[in-house]
Amino acid sequence: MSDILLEIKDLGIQFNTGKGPIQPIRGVSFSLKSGETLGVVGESGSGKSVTSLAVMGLLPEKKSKIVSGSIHFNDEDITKLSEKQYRKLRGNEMSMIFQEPMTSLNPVFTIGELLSEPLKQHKKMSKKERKEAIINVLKQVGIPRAEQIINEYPHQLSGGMRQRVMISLALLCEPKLLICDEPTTALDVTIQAQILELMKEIKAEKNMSLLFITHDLGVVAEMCDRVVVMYAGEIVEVAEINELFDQPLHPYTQGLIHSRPTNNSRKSALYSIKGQVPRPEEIGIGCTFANRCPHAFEKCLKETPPIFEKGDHLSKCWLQDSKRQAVMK
Amino acid sequence: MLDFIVKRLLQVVLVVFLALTVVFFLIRLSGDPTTLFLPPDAPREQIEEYRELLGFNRPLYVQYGDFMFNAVQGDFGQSLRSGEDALSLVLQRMPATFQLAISALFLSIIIAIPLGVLSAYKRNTFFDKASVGITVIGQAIPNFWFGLILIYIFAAQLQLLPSSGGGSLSHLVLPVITLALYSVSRFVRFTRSAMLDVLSKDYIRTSRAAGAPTSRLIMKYALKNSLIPIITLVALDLGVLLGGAVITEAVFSWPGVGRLLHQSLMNRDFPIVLAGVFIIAIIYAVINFIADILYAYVNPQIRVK
Amino acid sequence: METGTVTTANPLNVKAKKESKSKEIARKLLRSWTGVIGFSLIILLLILSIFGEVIAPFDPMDAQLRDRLLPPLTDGHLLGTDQLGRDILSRVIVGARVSVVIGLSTVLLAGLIGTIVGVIAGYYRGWIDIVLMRIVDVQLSFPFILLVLVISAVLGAGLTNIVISLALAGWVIFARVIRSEVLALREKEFITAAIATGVPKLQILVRHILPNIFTPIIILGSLQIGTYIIAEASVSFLGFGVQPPTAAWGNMLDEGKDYIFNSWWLITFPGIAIILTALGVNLFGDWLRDTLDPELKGE
Repeated sequence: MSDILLEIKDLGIQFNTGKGPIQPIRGVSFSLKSGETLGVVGESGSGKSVTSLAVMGLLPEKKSKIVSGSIHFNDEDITKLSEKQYRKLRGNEMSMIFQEPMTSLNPVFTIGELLSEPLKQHKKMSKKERKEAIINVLKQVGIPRAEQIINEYPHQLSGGMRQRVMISLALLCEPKLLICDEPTTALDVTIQAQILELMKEIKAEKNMSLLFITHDLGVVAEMCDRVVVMYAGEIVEVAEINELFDQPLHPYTQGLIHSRPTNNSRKSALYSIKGQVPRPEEIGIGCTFANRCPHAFEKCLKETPPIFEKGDHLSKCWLQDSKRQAVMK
Repeated sequence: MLDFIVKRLLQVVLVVFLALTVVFFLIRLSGDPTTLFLPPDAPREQIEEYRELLGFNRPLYVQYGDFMFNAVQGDFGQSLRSGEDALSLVLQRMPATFQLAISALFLSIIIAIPLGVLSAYKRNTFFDKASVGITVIGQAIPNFWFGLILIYIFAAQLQLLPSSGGGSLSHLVLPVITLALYSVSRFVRFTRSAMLDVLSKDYIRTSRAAGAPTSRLIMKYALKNSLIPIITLVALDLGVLLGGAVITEAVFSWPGVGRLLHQSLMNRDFPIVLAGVFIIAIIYAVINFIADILYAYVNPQIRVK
Repeated sequence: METGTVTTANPLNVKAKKESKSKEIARKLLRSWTGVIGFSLIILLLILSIFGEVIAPFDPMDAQLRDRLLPPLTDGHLLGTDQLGRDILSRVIVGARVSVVIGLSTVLLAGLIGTIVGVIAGYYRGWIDIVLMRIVDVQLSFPFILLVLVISAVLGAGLTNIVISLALAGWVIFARVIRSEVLALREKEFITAAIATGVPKLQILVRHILPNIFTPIIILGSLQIGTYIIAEASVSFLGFGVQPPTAAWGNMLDEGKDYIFNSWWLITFPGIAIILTALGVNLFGDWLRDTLDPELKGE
């Protein structure tokens, strides 16, 4: 048994739109060890959410398909699973916390009814045992008066409480992999901090692997061991957390780090990366970031850069070319 | 909630009042009803005498005020033909109409909601396309014609069911199917689109991520959400069915309010028309009112505050 | 990409662009087979309503009592004859005109009244909006078909009166939709900008509001025509609409229903004509809505 829980290799996903097929994910590869927290960072439209939905097998069935690569979970290629086999994993071995706690809980069911779903699907439990398990997990995530909450509806709870409910829904069957898709973005800052703290505690306690998707580098610094930076459907840099902040290699990562508000830069104008992420149908030859890159030179526009390796630090940028040779294409 | 109920009740009163006003003036402006009671060559004096007797010679606003004053007390006058009390004639016919409309409503629900759900579940398959196709055609069929065809097949040719009249269960079958036709098409389309709408929601994805199989997502989770708008539509449709009942009743000589209204319009028997409009306006408004309450009741976001 | 920029930059190419737009619509129509069916049925209907007398194999008014109630396919009567010996096919063909005239005039009249009311209510707001919308609410809380029946019974039979009845019962839907369109338009930046720069209110209305509500009016209108045609047939069937001997599908059904036990063809063919017409208009309306305004699709 390797200690790698999740391994994505050369993943390519195609969406069929009204204007023809597009590829929002191209050649994405990364791996996640057990017990590790891996951050996936990028602007909206970079493909980080699509990647996570692909892992969960939740891509819209008719509109999208995986056109290349594989996703290995527990040494098994899960892209080949039938829907029925996949169902045994979802909510059980792997779960996901979504971005919008406001819209992600069904408004016409009580919290108790919603939380009993994964238990009904995956565990053989009596009604009483289920209730106990639910109350237990609600207490774990710091929800007061759990016994009453199970009879209440989502709209009766605050945003922070709803996200705690979402977390408990994901934790019920003690999954090995927990995917968090911007779990705190929609919340107030103070509640954000509480939720992040809670997730850290839980992770330490249960020894899960976390795939943490966010656009917020501050959250990444807080939570993650390693970081994958995505841009326009591709991975542009992978590094250990301290390495990434100390020595970002890709100009896009550098831009992201620069554009964070920090204490001492409060008075000066915020740095921002010029331009926008190209849409999938706009991507042609050359480096996808070239049109926004302050360091772009001729080669960037003509040839797609390969991934350069510097120990465990990977980056996809021609700037690394002179020092190191290409090892992977 | 009480505030809401009072507001809606005032609206009901307003609807009934305006409906009566408009119909009253329409009828009076359209001509003198006196002439209908007398042969075309009746002498002038006789016409005048009749007008005075029936009160049609007074100024319009006096007639209107008089009418409203009496109407508030439930007095719409007597039938110009039979001399019976207009309102009680209408009320006598109510049960038959309700029987027809409510049976049609239930038939539509039983057929249409499962069909709509299945259509959404099997989206874009042959089954889905076929059921959408049938509803499109169903909406283009005038239901009185559908009734005639049913009479031809089941009464004239097969001689299985009676073609007209009321009283027994077998009399009810054809009119109910006829009346249900339009609602079925509407319900199927509406259920399907409500289900598809709900199925694309974030919270359905959450349940999927929790491991729920598709059948359960549909039958348990999505259905309960879609039932909120569906229940509202169904309640409102009872009103539409009462309107449609006029035509269906005429086709099958069903002894309900619709047929009475039709005959009274033919005979220009206006007290009955006004009493009928009064009753239908009230029923319609009450149905709207109930639909609103029902909507609030099935939706926990409104119910639990 | 580059050619696109050239075309838009050149004002002389406006005409060419317009042509390609109508071509684009034609291409879109051909891609949807329901749209094609709807469009073809409408064309057929229009041809019948204009050239009905020429196309009809017999004189639709010519009663031959010796040949009454002939079943279809006898003596050259493709769809048989009616209770007075008139050719049913010819009457169905000529009857198309009544449906077309009533459908179109009603939609014009109802659309006109409804648009005026909707624009006034949505644009000027205030008390006039409240009053008008209250009236709309009240009328909408009464069954459409019953309203048509009462009004047409009061006004009396005849083509003009049935159009007036249908329009008086039907304008409220236009008023409500147009009002909400106008309300939404008022919030748009280009209107706010026009108001802020002091363009007179009436000019804003004519220049900016009216052109932008044209599409929803067309869509709604095309979807309503089917309702009107069926309602007219229903009212004529009940004896309040277009009167015999004028050939109209509704009154053909009314007359034919007395012979239902023996002569099925009297009621079958006018009914099929109504269904095909309503189907054609509805399919075309659906297609128009999906093409012109995808956002309305959910409704």
